[in-house]
Amino acid sequence: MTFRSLCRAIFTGTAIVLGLAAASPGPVCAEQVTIRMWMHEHPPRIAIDKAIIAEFEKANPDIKVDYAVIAVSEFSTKLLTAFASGSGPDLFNQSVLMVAQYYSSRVLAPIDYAAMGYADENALTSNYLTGFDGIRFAGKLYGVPTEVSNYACYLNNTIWKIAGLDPNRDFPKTWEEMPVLAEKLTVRDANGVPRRRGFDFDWPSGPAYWLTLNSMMRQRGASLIDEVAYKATFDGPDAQLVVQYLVDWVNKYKLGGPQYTDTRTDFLAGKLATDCSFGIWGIPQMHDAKIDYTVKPLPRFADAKNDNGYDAYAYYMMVNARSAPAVQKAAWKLARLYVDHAVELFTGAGLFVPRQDVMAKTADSDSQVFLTELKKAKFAPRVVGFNQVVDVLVRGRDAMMQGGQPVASVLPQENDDVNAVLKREKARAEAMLK
Amino acid sequence: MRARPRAQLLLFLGALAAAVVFAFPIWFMITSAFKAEPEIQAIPIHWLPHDFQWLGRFREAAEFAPLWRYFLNSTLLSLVHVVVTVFFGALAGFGFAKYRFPGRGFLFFFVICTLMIPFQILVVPLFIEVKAFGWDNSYPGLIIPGMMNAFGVFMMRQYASELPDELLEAGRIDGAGEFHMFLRIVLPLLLPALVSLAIIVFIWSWGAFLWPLVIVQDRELNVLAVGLTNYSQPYQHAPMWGAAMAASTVATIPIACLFVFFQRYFIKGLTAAAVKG
Amino acid sequence: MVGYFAVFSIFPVLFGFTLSLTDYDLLDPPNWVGLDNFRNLLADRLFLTAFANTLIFVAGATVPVWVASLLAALLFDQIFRGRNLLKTVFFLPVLPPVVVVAVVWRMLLHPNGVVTWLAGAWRGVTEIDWLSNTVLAPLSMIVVHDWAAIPFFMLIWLAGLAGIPPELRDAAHIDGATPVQTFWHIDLPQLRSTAVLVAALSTINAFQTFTLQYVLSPDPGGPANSTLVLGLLVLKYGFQYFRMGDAAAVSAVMFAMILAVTAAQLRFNRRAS
Repeated sequence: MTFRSLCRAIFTGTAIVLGLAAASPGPVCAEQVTIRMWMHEHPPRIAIDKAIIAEFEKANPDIKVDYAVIAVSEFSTKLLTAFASGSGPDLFNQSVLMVAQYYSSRVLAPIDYAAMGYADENALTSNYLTGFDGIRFAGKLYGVPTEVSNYACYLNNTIWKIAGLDPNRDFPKTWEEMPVLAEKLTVRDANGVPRRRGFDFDWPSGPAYWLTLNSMMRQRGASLIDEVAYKATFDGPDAQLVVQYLVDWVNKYKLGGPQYTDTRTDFLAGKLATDCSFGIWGIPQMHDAKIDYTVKPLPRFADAKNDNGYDAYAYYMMVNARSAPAVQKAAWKLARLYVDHAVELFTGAGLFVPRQDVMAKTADSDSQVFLTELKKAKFAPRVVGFNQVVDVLVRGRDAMMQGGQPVASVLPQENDDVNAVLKREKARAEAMLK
Repeated sequence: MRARPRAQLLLFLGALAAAVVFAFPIWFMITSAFKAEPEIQAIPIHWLPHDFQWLGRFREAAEFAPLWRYFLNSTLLSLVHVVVTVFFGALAGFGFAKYRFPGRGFLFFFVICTLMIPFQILVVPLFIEVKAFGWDNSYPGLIIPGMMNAFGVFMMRQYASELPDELLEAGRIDGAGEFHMFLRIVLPLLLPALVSLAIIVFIWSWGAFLWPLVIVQDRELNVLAVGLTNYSQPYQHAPMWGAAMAASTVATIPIACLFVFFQRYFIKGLTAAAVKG
Repeated sequence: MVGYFAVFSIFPVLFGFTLSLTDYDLLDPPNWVGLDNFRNLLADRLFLTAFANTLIFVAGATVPVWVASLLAALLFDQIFRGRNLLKTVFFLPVLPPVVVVAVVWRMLLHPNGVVTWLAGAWRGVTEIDWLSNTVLAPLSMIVVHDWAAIPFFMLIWLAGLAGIPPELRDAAHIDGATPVQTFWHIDLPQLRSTAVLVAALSTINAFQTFTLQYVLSPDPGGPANSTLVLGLLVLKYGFQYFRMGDAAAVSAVMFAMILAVTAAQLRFNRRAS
């Protein structure tokens, strides 16, 4: 065999293999309906998921469930790329922070009440205290909540008592008193660098920063974003005040900052006196970490217009509008069974949903703090291009905190940048509708 | 040129200072892989572990994330890339050097052009393309794009063109086929260059980061380069520096071995890669 | 083999250029926008920041490296006791993959960590935010990059120095030239093509930098985007914001810049020889 014919053979062979791979047919179509279901990785919940699926398949022999667990950090990417290639899951569970994007691209199917076994919307929502606002668009609901959460403050009793403070009486009700109190709980080294913080905000997490800003703005009766008009609205005096407070926390009082370890890790390690970035799901984590804690509601501003704590966020079970109608119906049926297991999901995996049956399990005083706050909580504005908006806010924050730039000049720029993002996304959504 | 004795001392001291400063992080990495976690960030620095941990940190790394799986995946990726690039590089390089055929110049130029393409411009379209093949988050998707590197063709053509034609003629006279001649005569002659090429391709593939980052989602499929970040930036967990240093050491060992055993080829490979620019 | 390159190299590039002319967010089909993406880039603050940061990084990664690696090569070209051992030790930073370099330095540059102690203990400073300060962060990137680059380019210079015919040097020695004169009049002109090579190579490499910024920074892009470079921006636009068209546009710009540098190098070389 000549050298050249060998080359040709190899080339042809490779091309054939590649061609085959590209043209390989998908799985053989079955008579029955298959639901592709994607959930986040959360070990305690996975076992429950599987049990629910087994129960569902037994009750519906003509429906099969193809269940996949995906790492939290990759979930969004994987969802988007799957939708892009037309192989998105039929039933999936995702955070409220992302839903605006899916809705605007018409990926979400409105709830099929009949398939779920409810007479109408009211039959569904009357079971719940709250939680649907995050998934309501133009008056319709596009998913069912599998977890609703809001943050409150956890205090490490041991550290507080050693500092000579009483967690129950001394925790401030207002933001204005916080710096003084946090200072009493802060341990500093010879250079004034905080070695153990008294209280700090969860800076490294973009979503946590987003929730913090929204909640504090809402307390002052203002908002970060006007969801309906699709505009950024934080160039006013309230926004300046809130952001200045946060910047002072880091630069003036030096009580913490984005350069330190995130607060959740430190609190669970017993290295932080107070943290307000856990929800009701934090309780089992505290027990595991052996932290003796007290739960308190978030401080408010002394001159606050609204009495609210942290904004709520939720995870919803949603159905892919691009799936075959028969599959969609089956998916809603599965969703119904899933949310009916809410009590089990709470006791087994710590996922709280404000349903009558679950709330019956939360008579203890700690859970009551969360519930009381939840009644007053609203959902943060939902935006398409969430990643971009949060990035702008975080970068602006860094410029002010790490770069020392004044709030008065950075904030208007941030406002413009966010507006640019929103405008762009809005234009694109409109272009798609044409 | 031998320097004068006084200058000798100065040179030695200068070189010593430079070597110490530059090697310090490597020293720190290796010693930290054997320290207890609190010791690693201890101030003042512990130059040597006070509490030698043997394989404690390595075990910790292997428990927290599938370290050995990462190592295996990296090895698989690198070996495939090396074999494919070297084999096709030798074949094609020899072909371009010693055979005349229509379109030779154009084809060679075409192949070399691919060398100039920075990976960033390929990432997004390649991702969409590989996804269309159904290869995302899979071994083919991870290994096949990039497994043939045009640099192999370029380098082998250089060396092959220097082979004396008489030798090849002599091989042909024996009556053996072209391919036979290629195996028996050309390959052995090209061996030193092939080794250098193999080494440089191995180093490039071993350190590949952007592509695995984008195409792989399952932990089990990931390579060591990306897997390392699991230790330095774990999700909702403080950084595990000991495990990170252990994993880093593991990641450096293969290249260090290549350097120790094949130093001449190593250096030749690096300089050849540089000259192609 | 040609088929392989066609599929995995040429086609993606062409596809990439096409993408850069669209608006594609993966959820909806691509939408043709022509040169809008490029036009928008000029007004895009993120792009301009990334562009500026990349230029700063390239400057810091080429000039100091060019000089320092040349000095190191000159040093290790001399013959003295222990040279080979010290040269090998000096060369160690080249061995670990970039990721390892980034992870190790991430640990060393902890605000209360090793480098802070070395740099500040004698002044009583216990915390230096190497990676979270908007000025120190880009500086740290440059220093870490240079740390690994200098020994590598020393190798290239050494190869170049080895290529200088010893007769030239001997002749200068006989004529009574000092080492400095020898260097200036004999070595440097002979090293011209090596010099151009080092400059071009370090520039092209620095333009594409990505892994270092991604892994070394606790938050890719750095505080207030101070370490956001073009390589990172492609990833951000493509896989965080899912604006594929913009990602493709940015990488097209990168490609153009690298082509320009390569062309300049070729011209320089042609004039030199």
